[in-house]
Amino acid sequence: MPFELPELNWWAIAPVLAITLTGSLVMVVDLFTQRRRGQGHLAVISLAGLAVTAALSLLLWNADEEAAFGGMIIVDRFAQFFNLLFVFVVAVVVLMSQEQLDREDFHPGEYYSLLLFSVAGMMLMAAAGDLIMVFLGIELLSIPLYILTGFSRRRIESEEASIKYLLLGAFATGFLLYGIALVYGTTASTNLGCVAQTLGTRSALATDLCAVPALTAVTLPAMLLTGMGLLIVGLGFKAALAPFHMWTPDVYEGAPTSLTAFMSVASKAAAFAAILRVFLIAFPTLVADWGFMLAIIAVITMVVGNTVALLQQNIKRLLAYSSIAHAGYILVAVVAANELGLLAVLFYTVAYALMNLGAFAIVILLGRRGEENLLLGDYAGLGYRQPVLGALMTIFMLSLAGIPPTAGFVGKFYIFTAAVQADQVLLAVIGLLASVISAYYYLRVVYLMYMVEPARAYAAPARAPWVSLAAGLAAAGVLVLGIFPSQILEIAQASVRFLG
Amino acid sequence: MPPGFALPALPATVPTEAYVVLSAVLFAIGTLGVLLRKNALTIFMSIELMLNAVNVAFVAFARQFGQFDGQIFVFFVMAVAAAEVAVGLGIIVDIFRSRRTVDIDDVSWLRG
Repeated sequence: MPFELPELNWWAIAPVLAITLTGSLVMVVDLFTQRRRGQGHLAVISLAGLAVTAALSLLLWNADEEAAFGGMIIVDRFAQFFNLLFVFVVAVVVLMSQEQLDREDFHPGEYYSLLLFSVAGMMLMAAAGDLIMVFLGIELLSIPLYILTGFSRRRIESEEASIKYLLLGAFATGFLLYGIALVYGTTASTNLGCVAQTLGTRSALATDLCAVPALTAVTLPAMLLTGMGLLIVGLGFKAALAPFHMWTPDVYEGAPTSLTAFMSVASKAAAFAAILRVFLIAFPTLVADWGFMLAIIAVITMVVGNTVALLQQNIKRLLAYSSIAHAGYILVAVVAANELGLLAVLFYTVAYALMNLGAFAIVILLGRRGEENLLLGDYAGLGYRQPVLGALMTIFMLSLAGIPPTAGFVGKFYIFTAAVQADQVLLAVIGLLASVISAYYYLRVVYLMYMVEPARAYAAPARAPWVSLAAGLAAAGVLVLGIFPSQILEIAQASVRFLG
Repeated sequence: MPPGFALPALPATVPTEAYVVLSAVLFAIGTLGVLLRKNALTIFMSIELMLNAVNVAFVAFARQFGQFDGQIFVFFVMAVAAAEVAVGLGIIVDIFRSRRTVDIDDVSWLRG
């Protein structure tokens, strides 16, 4: 049994190291400043660390593509693209959390450090070159989120959401791992490049470390396909794809709103990054099989997400089902699996991040201590009570519904074009019909804001400059991306070359 | 042992297929446990059973291929499972403190 220690190239994971160190620093500083009132200094440290992380990712942008840590980590623009997206999302979430941390008496030290550790897991998922790395990334992402979900301990729903998320998350991890074990059993490797090589594709990522398999996939196709299906279950759980979405509405409703925003955007993006890596690098020869499985899941996801969202009265649950539906749209682009499809996945994750973060920022601004004012009825007349908030919420709802000139429209346009190009016309048509349904519940919020008198008097929302800043940034981003999408599309194009 | 009695000959080594079947059975038992049991702690134990089924499969395959890789993964799985248990038990204790029960049917304020 030959065994070599892999060469350690710390530079390759510099952004992950930076964010992990920031998280640890926040924890230590918090220990020494617990008597101090307020938590602004911790937010500043987090944001500074995030700036360093972003700078390191930018430095790595032009680095040579390479596999580090014995093939565990892939350094390429795809990874850096997602690193920058995660850094942006978590920075906005830090701003959005300012109001909630004070309102709900959260302990800020753990909050920030767990948030940062979770991002480290997401970065590892986007950079994973090995199924084991995907697994470790998912766990590093999830375990902090299990704790953060239960962070509002005064609310009984938060605790419950936490245990539900944990039990179902661990359950899904079991499936993911068994899938990895079966893939390993057929291909004698968990390295994505080696798996591809064993299955008959020449992969630039395959190294001489790849073992010669004793059993080949040709002799055991059933085991390989089962393994692949179990991988879809495990990753689909994180991306909130139906029918593995059962946890989503409860967890999103129970978790603190700022964290719901983070989960709905960042962990979904990480899950899709991992799905692209795994299926496009390791299983390109089996595209017909996984494409078919994912196409069915995409249809179920879009239909379930959009129809159940019609019935929701709570804005957080509405956005939860909407996030399921959007995962379905992104999956359509994954199924297309052509270059435009990949571009569309990356573009849509950015667009979705902006519009969803913005919508949740408004939800936070209107919320009250103990997570009140979350029913749709509470939005009645908002357009007159708070014209600015109403206008911002309208922008986010229009973007989520996919109406021009917003980022949501451009994203959907590319997704469905990619699907048509890949001869998935039926999938594109179902997606379009589903998004027509979705317009009903998004526009209902707009309708309530401008056409309905409020049932009772509402106090003006608390002044929360940071949350307002986050909402404003998101709105600007949604419009800029909707009107001038070419910039981000070029960046995305440079990021998807890992397919070769 | 009476004279003239011989044990049936056993194969020199247990074949890999046997381990894979064992792991599949363990995994299925774990899955059923998660789906059928109501106590949060029992569900947790069932999940552990699923993860250990994975470990059995990894080690069996690693032996088959003559590699260390699969055996090393088992350590990763065990370490992560331990971290998950630490967090999970913390949450379960917290729930028990506030509701005096860890039965997941009693813990259902949210609609599902």
